[in-house]
Amino acid sequence: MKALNILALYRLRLRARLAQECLAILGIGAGVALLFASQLSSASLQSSVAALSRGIAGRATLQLLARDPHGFPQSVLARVRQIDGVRAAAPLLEADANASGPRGATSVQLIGADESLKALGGTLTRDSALAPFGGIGAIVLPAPLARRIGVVRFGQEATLALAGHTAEAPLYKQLTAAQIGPLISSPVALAPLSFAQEIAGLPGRVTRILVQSAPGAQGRVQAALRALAGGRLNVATIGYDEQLFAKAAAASNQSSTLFGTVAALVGFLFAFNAMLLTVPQRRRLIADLRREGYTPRTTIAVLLVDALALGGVSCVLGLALGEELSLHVLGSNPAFLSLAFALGSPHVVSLQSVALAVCGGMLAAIVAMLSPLRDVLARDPLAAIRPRAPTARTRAGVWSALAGLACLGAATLILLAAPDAAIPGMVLLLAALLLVLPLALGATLALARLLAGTVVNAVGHIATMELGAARARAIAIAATGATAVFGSVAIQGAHGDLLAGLRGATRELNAATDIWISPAGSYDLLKTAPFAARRRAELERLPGVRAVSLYRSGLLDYGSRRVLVIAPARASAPLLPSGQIVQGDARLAQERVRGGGWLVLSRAIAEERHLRVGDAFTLPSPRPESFRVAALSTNLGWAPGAVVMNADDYARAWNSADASAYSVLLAPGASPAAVAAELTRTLGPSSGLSVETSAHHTAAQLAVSHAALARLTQIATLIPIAAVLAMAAALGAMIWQRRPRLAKLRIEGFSRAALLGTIMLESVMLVGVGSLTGAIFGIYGQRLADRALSSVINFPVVHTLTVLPALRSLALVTVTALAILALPGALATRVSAALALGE
Amino acid sequence: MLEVRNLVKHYRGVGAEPVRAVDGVSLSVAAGETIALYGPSGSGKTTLLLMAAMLLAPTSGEVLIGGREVSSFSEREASRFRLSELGFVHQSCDLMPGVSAIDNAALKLLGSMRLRQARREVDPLLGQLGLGERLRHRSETLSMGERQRVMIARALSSRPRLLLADEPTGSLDTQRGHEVLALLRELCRERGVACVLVSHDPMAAGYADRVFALRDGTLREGEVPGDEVAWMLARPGEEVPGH
Repeated sequence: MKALNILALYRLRLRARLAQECLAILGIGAGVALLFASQLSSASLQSSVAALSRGIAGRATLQLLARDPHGFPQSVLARVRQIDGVRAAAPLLEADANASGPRGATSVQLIGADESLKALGGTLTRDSALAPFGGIGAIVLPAPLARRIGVVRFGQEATLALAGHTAEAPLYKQLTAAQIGPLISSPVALAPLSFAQEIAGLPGRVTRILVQSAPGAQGRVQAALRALAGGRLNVATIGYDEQLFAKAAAASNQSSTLFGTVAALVGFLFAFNAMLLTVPQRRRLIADLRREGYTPRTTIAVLLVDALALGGVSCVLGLALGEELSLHVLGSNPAFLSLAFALGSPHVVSLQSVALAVCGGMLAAIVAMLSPLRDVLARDPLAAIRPRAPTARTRAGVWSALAGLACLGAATLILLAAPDAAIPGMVLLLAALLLVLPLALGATLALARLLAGTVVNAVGHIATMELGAARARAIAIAATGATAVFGSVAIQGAHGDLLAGLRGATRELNAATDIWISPAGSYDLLKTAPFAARRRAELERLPGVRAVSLYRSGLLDYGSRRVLVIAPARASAPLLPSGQIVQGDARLAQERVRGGGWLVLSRAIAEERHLRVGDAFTLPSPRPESFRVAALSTNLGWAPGAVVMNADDYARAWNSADASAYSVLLAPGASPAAVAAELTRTLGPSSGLSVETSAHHTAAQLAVSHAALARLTQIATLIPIAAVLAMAAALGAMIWQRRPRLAKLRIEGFSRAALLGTIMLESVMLVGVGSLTGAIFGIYGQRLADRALSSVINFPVVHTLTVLPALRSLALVTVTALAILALPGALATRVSAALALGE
Repeated sequence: MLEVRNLVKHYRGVGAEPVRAVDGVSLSVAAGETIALYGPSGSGKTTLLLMAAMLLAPTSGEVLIGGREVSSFSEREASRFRLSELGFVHQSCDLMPGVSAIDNAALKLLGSMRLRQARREVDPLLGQLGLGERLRHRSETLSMGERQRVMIARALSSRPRLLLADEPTGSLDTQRGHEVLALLRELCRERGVACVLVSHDPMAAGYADRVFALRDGTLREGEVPGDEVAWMLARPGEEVPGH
């Protein structure tokens, strides 16, 4: 058959099945939208880091990095420029700061640079003046950030709080999207290097030198830079920040992948349900074409045209819906990650995200359309319209159940032996669920038949007969509910367990302090900004204060991880969060860390470095020091991992006496709020320090944890909504299509109420079995996710058996689907009897 | 058993004139009697059948079954009455797919007895209808004639007093048609069931005690027309030789 004729045939047939086709488009579109939205929201964060990195670095390929915020002498720049093969080198000073103006405050990364940065051609410096003007330094802000804090006029001053003091910085200009492109949403304040050094209190120091090497000289230059760094600075490629971020965002990305998988499957099932409505027509079409002498190849071509048209329209709809969904529902929430990486909220639509979503949509359309492929390829041209023998069905059911059990076994193996394969494990579990579902449905039907036989009522019999008659569709509908409840229960359960674990870790980390005093700004929730702690004695003399100790903490780039280093004062009690110790004796570890030379390491880092309790290793701190591992812990809620040592060891390894917080202990009976107020008054407004009670700090950290996990909540909510709509649509369509048979039953004498009862009972069985099986597998999935979170990413996770939330999800999906279905069900039972008589 | 008195059904038409689907029809069918009702498409056959089955309210007139006036029954009463007192055989004979012949036949009884008992009830009836060997076969594996016989078994399973058969031979070949009609008449006589046979098929007349023609909503009792095809294809108002 000619291609044009295939198209003409498609057009002719489309008229007869427009409603079903629209339903299928909606189904595949919903799947594509969910997949695309999840891709966009995670890709956007990664893109934010990449955009900032490339926007600053331009053509630079290598960098020399400081290991702490104090940086290194600017004089190193001259030595870098002398290296053979270095074409250009530019110094940078980067510091976390809190920028405030008349309309508000926000955390920014202050970037100090000089004219040499412009030579590298980065977007950020293309339109910026990097030389001090008129002898006065100034800052340049992206326009949205400037508007947010209300500093918009030339010369208007913003207050920058950093390193335990404040400084005024006049605005030189706002940068627009036309000038800096995607960097427009980056939270940065750009300043001439000398001015940045002055306000950061780091004269003559830089934190990074960007290096552009001559073609073919990169290896040589890198080696020379390493020699220059002498093990006290890091030498890395420009993409290093992206690598660090990818590691930090691994948990978030994995949840997005899982979401994408579940969402795509729900979408596919939605579409598949819709496609099942046209299966009889397609079977007849296949039989007609084969009977008339067309080859299986031509028949497949005809079906593929259907699939391409359906998939194409669905993908366009899905991409548009997904874009809206990612903007308004699944917005990127950098939360905790923004404490260690300069992250904006860009909306980046990558070709990869589009391609993945489109491929998913097209695949769903093709698979759904070619479902009767066996009939197309059968020797018997009329195989498509011949009834299938029950024995073949039974055999298929047995094989399906066996395959399901095999998948379940493989998922169990992953759970026990390879938790890092959590995503494949989840996919296997999902496959097991879908393969076992026909068995569960068959068992339910058998049970229902048995029960129906014991009562005098036709409703049960008719319901089981109808369900048994439309087996494929029943399984597809039940599978939709099962997938949704599985995803919802697994994700919600893991979410709850993770939150409980984070709550425990946060409380333990704040247990030895009554009041925190640390640099102002939301970026300092982790307390990683150092400042010169000169007022300890003064604060200790205040009434209600029992003791003030210096708490040190920082972020250390260790391999591909940006590790959180926590260093409470030796005298802190408890010094270690003992509930977070996963290997080693907590009491002994506490004594050893207090004594010095020992530290506690996250298990993920230790495993990556092949370290065990008692082993010695050199920590790549600004002044590399040798430590022994006292115990292994969770990651304390920081995905890349954490290290705990005492504050004196930290000072030695960081070669700095600066603190990152004062830890205040109250005298017995003293009110935290009253002492906090007194401390604030004493420190004064220009200290750049903020005072908060331990309870308040704990609550703020937990709020950020909640925000960081908001995506999981959104996922767990969105999937059941999509599934309920899918099931209600599929059930509604199924019932609507059955109206002639309902009309016949009415003629037989069955009342409308009995028919509605039949419809609802069928729906209860379908949705109930699907949801219940999904919930059971979901609890298993939760276990798998928990194991991956705790063993691989090393999060503190409190394992719980979430039976109640599972039942809640089950009930919610079932009741909502039934409630939505009641209307078309009731309407269908009002069918005119004439329909049965063909009038 | 069935008595229809001056039954009228008017529908609102496109113009000002109402469509007179059934216009003053009266007839009676005794227990064990079979009548055949002929008429071209749109003559009002199905409307009459629906009113007799209490599935459509008449504009005026009465339907009495077993002496009870049924046209004013509520939905619930009508359903209950249909379930126990009335049988219906359709042309399409599409049974519940995937369900065995015996369970399809027992469907009507499930409102009043357990499945096992219902099967016991319909088993001899299916045997009588020649389906003794096919009881456990799924409906889609049955031939059209066999399906139609399952429909007859279902219709008669509740021992109704009235059987309404709408084109029962419509999808059968001549031989199967004869077999089905013969069975219907035999069973109705044997069980004392009043049977209304609506058909296009002239051979139905051979199995009916009386024959009626319905045209333009009015009923005429008489013989089967000689040129049945011409009679059936004639448009309303058009004269057919011999009629």
